[in-house]
Amino acid sequence: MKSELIWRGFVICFILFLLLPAVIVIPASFNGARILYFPPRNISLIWYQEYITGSTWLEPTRLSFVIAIFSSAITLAIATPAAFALTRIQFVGRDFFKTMFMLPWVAPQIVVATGIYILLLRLHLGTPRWAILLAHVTISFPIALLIISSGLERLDKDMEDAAASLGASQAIIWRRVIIPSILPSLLAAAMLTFIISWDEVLFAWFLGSSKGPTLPAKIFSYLQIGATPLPAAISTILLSITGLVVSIGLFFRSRISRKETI
Amino acid sequence: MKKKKITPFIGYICSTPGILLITFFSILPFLMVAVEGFQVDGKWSLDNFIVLTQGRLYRIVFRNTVQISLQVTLMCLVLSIPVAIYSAKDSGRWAPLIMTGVFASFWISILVRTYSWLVILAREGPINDLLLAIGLISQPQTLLFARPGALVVMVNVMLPYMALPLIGFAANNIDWELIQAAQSLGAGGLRILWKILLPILLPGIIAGSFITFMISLSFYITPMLVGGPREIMISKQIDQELNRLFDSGRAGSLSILLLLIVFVTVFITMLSMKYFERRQQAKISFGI
Repeated sequence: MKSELIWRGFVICFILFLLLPAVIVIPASFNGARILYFPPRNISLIWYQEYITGSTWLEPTRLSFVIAIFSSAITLAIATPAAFALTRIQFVGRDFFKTMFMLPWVAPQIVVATGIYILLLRLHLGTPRWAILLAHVTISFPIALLIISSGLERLDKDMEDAAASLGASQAIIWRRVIIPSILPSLLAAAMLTFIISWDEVLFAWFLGSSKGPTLPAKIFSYLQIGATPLPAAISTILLSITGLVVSIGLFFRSRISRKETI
Repeated sequence: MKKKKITPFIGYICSTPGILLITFFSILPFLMVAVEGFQVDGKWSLDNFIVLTQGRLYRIVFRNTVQISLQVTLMCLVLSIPVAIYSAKDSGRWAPLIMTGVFASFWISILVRTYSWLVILAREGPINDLLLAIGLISQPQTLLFARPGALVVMVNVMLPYMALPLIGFAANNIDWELIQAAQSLGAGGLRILWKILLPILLPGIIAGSFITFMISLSFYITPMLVGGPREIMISKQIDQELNRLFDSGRAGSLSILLLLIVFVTVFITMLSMKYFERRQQAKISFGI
């Protein structure tokens, strides 16, 4: 049916519209001149060179990476017990806590960033790195909580009961049954929180210092002056790293689920 | 078999780190902002709010914020509805695939997504090349830093927030056979859309529009990079006041204004959901 084709075409164009624009940074990064020609002219790797040479861009990259790793670790460390408490323990105020945990998601980030900035100002703390770190943890917390909670909820209680009836102690049940089952969720949460922190601009921009910005903050300030192919080179590298992280995560996920079925 | 019940105390212990985090990095900042808004040079005053009602700048900021957010939300809605309806086909067979495709755009950093449009809409970019080649224009145009270009980029960035809830909802709630039945009874496409599909989709539409609108209101990065001076939104103004004019008082009052707009939006959304829910109930009880 002809209209069927139109529908399908529209959906395909829709998804292409969402994904294709990012792809254009890859050829754009090979422009030799400062201008973003398309198709690229004066093909050269000069912008990749500029990124890799010296510490102007490598230092922010390192900082972003460190913050992302710590953000991921801390978020998981805080969200896992919280998820456990929400899904498995009955206590007064559980629903209230549940709502409160979602707060960072619904709050306008600009207001929170302003507030943290003012708080730091009033306490004469300047622009410390840990402020960005904890801000990242805060905004990653709701979604990490969601992922881990749903992983815990999907847990097969019968498996735990079976293990208990076979005489396994609580510790062993934890080690052999619960933790392996939620490992995929933990991994997914880890990946997501890493990427959230790695790509995060607003808090990094507001709470960062101009001398030691994160990579996204530095790109952001760079772009306010004008657009050159440099962010294209960086973006290509960023996209590759994101792709790498996602692939590694998916690889480990498939390995873990394969181990489960055995 | 004994089932050990974990004491509630452990529940509190496990939740405490999260509560502390949110208290200090979500709630406390809010309070700081509120306090700043009500202070001028250390003294309590409503000056920061009064100043918002005077002068054209803040009126423009307010109008832009609401207007642009509405425009972006509406365009995202119009684009997402066909996709949502299509994904309900074959009992939602394609829905997971489509949603994965949409979700994949979240993996791309917002900076990359915004910057890529700087490339695409540049004077030497592919769009201008195309338009020149077709002969539609005689000179490369500045497509960015004006409302149309900014809207395209913002829609591109916001689309997943509208599409994902809508597609998910549609796939679960639209019965494609209903459409086929209506078609066999002679109903035309538009009628099916208006009388059948949209009413079913309404909760999903409200949910998706709510999320998209809320995020658009406090949108900062994309309008900063692709918007012109006429696209100034409240987040950019807050940034101006705080980081360039060092007026934390006005940054505070603007933030409270944003919160007010957010509350009004939440209120309107909840009212409309209640209203449509009641209409649904009425229809069911009347046997429609």
